[in-house]
Amino acid sequence: MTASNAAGPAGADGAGEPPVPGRRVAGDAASADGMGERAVPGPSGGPVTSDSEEAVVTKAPLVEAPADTVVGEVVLRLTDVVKTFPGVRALDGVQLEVRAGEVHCLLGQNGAGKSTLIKVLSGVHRPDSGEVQWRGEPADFANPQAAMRAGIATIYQELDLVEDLSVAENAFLGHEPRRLGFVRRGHMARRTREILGRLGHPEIPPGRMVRALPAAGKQVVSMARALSHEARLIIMDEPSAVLAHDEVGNLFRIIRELTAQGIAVIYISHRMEEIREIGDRVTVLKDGRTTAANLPARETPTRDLVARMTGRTIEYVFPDRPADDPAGAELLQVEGLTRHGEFADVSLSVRAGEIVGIAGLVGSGRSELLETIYGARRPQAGTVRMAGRALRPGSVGAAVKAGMGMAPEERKSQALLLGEPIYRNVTLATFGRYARLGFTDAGRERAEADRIGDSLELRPRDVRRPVRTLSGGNQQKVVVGRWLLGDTRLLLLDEPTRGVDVGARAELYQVIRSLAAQGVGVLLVSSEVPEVLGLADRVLVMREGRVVREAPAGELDENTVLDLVMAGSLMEGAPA
Amino acid sequence: MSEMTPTAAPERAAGLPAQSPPVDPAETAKAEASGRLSWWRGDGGEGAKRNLGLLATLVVLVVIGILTRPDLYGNASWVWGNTLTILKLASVVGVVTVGMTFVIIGGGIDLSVGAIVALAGVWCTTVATQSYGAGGMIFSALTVGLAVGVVNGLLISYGRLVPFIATLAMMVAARGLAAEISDKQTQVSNNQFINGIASTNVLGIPLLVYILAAVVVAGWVLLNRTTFGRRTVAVGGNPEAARLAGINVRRHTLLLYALSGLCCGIAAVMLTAQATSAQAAMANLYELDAIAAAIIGGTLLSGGRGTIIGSLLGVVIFSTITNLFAINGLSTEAQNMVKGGIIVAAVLVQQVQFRSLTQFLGRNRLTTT
Repeated sequence: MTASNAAGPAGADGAGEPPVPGRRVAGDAASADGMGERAVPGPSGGPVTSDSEEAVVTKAPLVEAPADTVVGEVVLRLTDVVKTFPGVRALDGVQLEVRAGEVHCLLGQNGAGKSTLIKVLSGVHRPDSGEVQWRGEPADFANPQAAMRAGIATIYQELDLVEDLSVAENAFLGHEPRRLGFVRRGHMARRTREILGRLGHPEIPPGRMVRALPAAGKQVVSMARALSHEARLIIMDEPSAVLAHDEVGNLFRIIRELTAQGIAVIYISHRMEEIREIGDRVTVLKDGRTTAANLPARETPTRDLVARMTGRTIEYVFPDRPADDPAGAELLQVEGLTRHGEFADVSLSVRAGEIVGIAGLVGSGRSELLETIYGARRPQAGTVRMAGRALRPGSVGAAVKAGMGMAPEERKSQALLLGEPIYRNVTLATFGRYARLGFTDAGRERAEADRIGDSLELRPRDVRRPVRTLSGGNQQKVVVGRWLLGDTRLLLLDEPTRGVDVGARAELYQVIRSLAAQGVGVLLVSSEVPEVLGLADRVLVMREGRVVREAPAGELDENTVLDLVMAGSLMEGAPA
Repeated sequence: MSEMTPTAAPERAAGLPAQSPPVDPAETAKAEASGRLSWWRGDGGEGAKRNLGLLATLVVLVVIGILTRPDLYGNASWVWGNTLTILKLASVVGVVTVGMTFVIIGGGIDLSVGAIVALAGVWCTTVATQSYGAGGMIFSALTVGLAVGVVNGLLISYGRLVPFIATLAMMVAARGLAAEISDKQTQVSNNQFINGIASTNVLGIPLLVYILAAVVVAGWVLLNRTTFGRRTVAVGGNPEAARLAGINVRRHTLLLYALSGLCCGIAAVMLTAQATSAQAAMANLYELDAIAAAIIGGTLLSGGRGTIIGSLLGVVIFSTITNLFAINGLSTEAQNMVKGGIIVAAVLVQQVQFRSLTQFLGRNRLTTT
């Protein structure tokens, strides 16, 4: 394992990839308007995997994994795992095979089911159907403790450490070595030191408060906790996201230490370069299914992986763009907007009647950018102007007055009063307008909400029902509808179709397009590249807080955008 | 609500004089998921449904009274008088609870209400204040209550203190100031108008009860019919959503605590009138009574949901228990234990999934009819 890593190239250069046959597949997958054909076997064929090491689901021939890539026996095997939540089929037949001593990478777009899969493996969720085999035996973890005891440890992106306990106390949290009810502190410290040694960090004192450690140190403590449980499989959810550039090399060194000891690692990252660097095999998820299993991490071309993440099982239906350029005067002008650590020096503009889309991964700063434009966050530099007039920074009230409206990313936690009726949610930003002398006019509000409900085809139509009872798509219509009531001239949409089913999506797209036709400017953020490409007139691509490309939607295709979005420059300067 | 008709004497304990419609029509208007509109069903009517449960509790308490003291309850004029006693007992805490209900629905808590009442009471009974007459005394009590509430609100909304901490500090500080002003003495009110507030009856009903009714009606209208009330529910139910909808969450939070302070000022006048004096130790533990009453009344401690009528019923239930113990000659200690038990029971009920409870009741009805 370590040998193969050492022998492997220190991170393939994405740009230098040869145009392998996968290229053709990928190109087909994304026609300019995002209504590409699927390039990957569909539900009928089912996601394919096999017992062979390089079971590859593809039409294109792929380089086969070298035999020495896989070192150990299979420790974890998932067959047809399904997990549904009300209204969502989060996992829809997942296959996964992990071997001892390998780094198995999980790839997939947001919403592909990675998080749910992790939760199934770590005992948070139990699968509805399908089989989880752990070390040869069928496993059904009732809770996270059971998974821990069985030897599966999970390191979440937000490390679940107790900041005010020591390193040793955190490492052994919940299973402290005891004698007669007393914690054997000396013993615990000794074992912690030994584990830290195994992780290559003997310099971390077991008695140090975790609060005092840097992010990288905390991550080491998380891993120490995993080892204190004698974990045989460690799941790492985007571990590099919290680390500075030069710390990633150290993380990889530790992962190599672990795999050399026969521990399996499931590694989740969006950064292709990292997968090349540390991964052995890759499994790709899309829409809750495994679309490709056990691809060799280093040799599979990026475009091929991307194609497997993006080929659509669902045909997106986007409304036609108007034939002539409908955009009017400049409405929104953003100049040099900066928030340290989130985004830097972003300039953009939206004209009346224009839909501008921002593509980028979670963490690329896009949601933060939108909220800053809206005044929900205060920028450190830069200006936001509406129709030429500068807005007071950090004031939502000023933004709303100037004619902005926003549908935030987290519908339930940021936009809705779930227990309140639909009409009160629709009029949340405007009920003051219908009031006389401070007295609300519920009848008028209901009438207005009814009108919105008609125009958005809200279902059910009774506006007195609590919003809680609506489907995700209809809840989103309520949030969008809220801004149709006022004099909204610019609509900011953050992931407008997250958790929205296919039919409702098409309706939402239609609504957004017809708003634009009425002269409303729209600034749209989505992690779903086809959505941005299909809906927007103009597209901005964001990566790590910066706009890296701006072009009319017609000039970009899905793969180009995904390449831009994912091209990780994280490994620059890191030790190979 | 038939309980309102003044024919059945025992239920009149719950009958609220000059009471506006007993159930929030806005809530009744909200339809249940099944589409039914009957006022006591339906999701939005949860509060109203809970209020029915509170009325039932009240009836049970009255029945216990009848069973334990049949001699007293045989006398109609005693029953009427006792009912007024209960309402009078509820009046001061009731006014405080209306303010508290707003604060809690708005996602906060106000531990300083008892101390504000004491400070306002002491302030309005100093020799200097009394020299301005009844108007000056009432004005100073309301102003002091409002001012302390504004300070609470400033600390919480703009100083970003946790409401628990800010009002806990205010509770201590306001009592301290009250003791300082009064020099730890009881200040007797010599103003006949003020003292008359507690002793005057209008149409056979104490003026204090009218004041409570007026505050309750005003509170009900404010919560259910005004933009202020709508903002309160929004700010408490989902502050982030409220903020992103352009509502000024901080300013509204400030106003909520100011409102609570104002209610305390009104309560201070009432309590001073009742005792014909004021002292720094007055209105002791009113914060607990008010919070408990609001919670029993179905106000969600996490904010976003609650009713004024529920809170009122909570207060009346408490004063009925006190009355029950008094007419049976039982100790206040035992009474406090029962109160504690009722608070726990109310919160347990709150935690029960109301939907499943409805289903259970629905099934029951089907099988029995």
